[in-house]
Amino acid sequence: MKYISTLIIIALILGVLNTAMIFAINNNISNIDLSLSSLSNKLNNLVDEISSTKRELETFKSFYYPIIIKDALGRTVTINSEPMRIVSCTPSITEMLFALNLSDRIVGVDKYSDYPKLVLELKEKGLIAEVGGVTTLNCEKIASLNPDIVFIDASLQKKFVSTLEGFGLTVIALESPSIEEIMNNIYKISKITLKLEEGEKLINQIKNTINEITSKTSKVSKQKVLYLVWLAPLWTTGNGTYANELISIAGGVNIFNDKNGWFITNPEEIISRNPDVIIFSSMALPKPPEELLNYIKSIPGFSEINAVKNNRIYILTENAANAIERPGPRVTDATILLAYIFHPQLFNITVPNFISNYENIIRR
Amino acid sequence: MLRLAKQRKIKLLIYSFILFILLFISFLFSLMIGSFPLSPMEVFENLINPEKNKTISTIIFNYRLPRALFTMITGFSLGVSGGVIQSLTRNPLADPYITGMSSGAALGAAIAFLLPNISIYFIPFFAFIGGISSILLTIFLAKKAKAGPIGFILAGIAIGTLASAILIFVITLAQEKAHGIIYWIYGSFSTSKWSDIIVTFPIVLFCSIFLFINARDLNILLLGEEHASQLGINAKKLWILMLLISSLCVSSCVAFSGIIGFIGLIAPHMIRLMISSDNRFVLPLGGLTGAFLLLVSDNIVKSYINPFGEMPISTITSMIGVPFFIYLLMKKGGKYEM
Repeated sequence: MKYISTLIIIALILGVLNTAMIFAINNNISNIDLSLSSLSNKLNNLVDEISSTKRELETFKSFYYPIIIKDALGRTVTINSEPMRIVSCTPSITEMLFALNLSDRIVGVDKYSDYPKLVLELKEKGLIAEVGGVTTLNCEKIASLNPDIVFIDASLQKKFVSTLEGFGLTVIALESPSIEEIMNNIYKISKITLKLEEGEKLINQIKNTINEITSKTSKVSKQKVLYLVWLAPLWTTGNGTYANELISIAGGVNIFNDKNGWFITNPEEIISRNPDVIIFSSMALPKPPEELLNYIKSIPGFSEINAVKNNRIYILTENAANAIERPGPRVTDATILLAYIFHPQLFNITVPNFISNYENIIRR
Repeated sequence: MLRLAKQRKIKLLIYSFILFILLFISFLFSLMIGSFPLSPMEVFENLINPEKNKTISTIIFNYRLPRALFTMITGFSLGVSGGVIQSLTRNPLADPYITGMSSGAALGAAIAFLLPNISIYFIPFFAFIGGISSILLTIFLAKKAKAGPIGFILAGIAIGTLASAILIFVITLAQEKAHGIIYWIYGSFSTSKWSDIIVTFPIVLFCSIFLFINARDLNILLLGEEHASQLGINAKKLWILMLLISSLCVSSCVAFSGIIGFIGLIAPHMIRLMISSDNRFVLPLGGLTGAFLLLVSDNIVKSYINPFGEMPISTITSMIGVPFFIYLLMKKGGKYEM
């Protein structure tokens, strides 16, 4: 009797304990459920909020776009929505686009676009297609990429406008014959692509570098500079070109600044103007740089020129040449490099006679 | 008969004298003319006293003087060779390039220009090799065809056209570097150096002396190979030798200057029209006339500066040569004999 009642009491206690446990566990599980479900709710809410903010942004963009701009050929171009697929047909514009952080939106560039390095990497990965040379654009290829905007060079690629428009593409022609125009075009692109923050930063950077270099070099006498882009015949520049402007800002004076534009000169003219510095700049050198240096020194009559006597002849190629020849965001690099070449004592830097990559030289 | 010979001799002396004077005057002009014009006084002063003005004396001694001298050497070689080739081929329209040498030289220069491991200083060498190769090929073809002087001209056309075709192909491949080659082909004396003169002057001198010595035999060759052999001349051997020597002469000059046309064609004819067709006069005086014409052309080129560079000298040689030539033709055409 006593045995059975003990059993009953133990069973009751166990039953109570079990029930309590089960009740407690159930409670805990729904607590976890509750916090899990509240987390998931919170995440859902967040996603909804992002969607709605995006919609707001899209709404804003639908008020921002369409924008109407005038390009360098005087054409009025309407951009209807934020451009997500962009083709650049000239290296200087490619550099501007990449400097404005638009690399993920570029779908095609010309075959000479090679700066920054990211361009080459993206080309290799197949994320950016090649659309031909600057004067030999493949318009069909461009059309096949289905771009929202095609940027072209106003002077060299004018002839492609009608073909590209025939494919129904939006074409914008840009030209940067001066530093002011580079800034204007950077602003224009940033306005078109809603990269105003980046644009402002880039323009300020350029402005500050130029001001710094100009003020530093204004304290010393200007060096007389001969700037050649070819040796036979002797192609050089006068006033009104981007290269001439770079030379002036970097503390030099072009010996031919009384003439205009690009032209061919002869040894006599150069001898009589006696430059202090000779720069030969070409993306692709016809012969090895040492040979070109000796060739320049051996041009009849050049032995008496200051630049030859003081060995201040500089052969620029590849990146160094491109930085000067492409009017774009590398105006800063070009100005600094030229300032170092013209005024080595002022900046305490000696530039070698042959320069292809200047990254290690321009480490202020 | 005697009077005629005397008349001819007087004519000869007068024309030679005038030619020398003209040559001297244009030489002086060449020292004065340029983008930095100098008066005769300045030129003399700087010749006598080079230290006075370093800039001017550099321009005169290192730029204008070698340019004028080299122009004269080239013009001389073109005139002499032109006369020789015209007599050898019995064709008044022949010039030194009829062997296809010009396209061959241009092709040689283009190849040297484009191949990266070939120094700039070797361009004249390659041009020279190109020119000589075309001549040898032409002679080889002509010999195989056994068609005489006409065969030779035709072979020259064939080789020249082939070289031109390859040249155009090479230029298209060159893309950005193409205009450097084209500029070379146009011909220009603006890069004349003393080293060019050191190379070409001895060659032109010795070749010319050889050609002058054989000028009389050249006259006999004009009669035809049979007659020549009967008169004791080894026609075949002389023919090839004179061809090679005159081509060597021209090749060495155009290897440095580029292709200069028209001088080799008209200079000998001017002497034939004015004096006689005797090669003993045509060759040397033709050479001097060629030197004079080319120097005048280069002076014109130097004095007309424009942003696109100097005018190609071949344009000027044609423009001044043709009217002169037409005048002579009208005046003396009836009395002309080859």
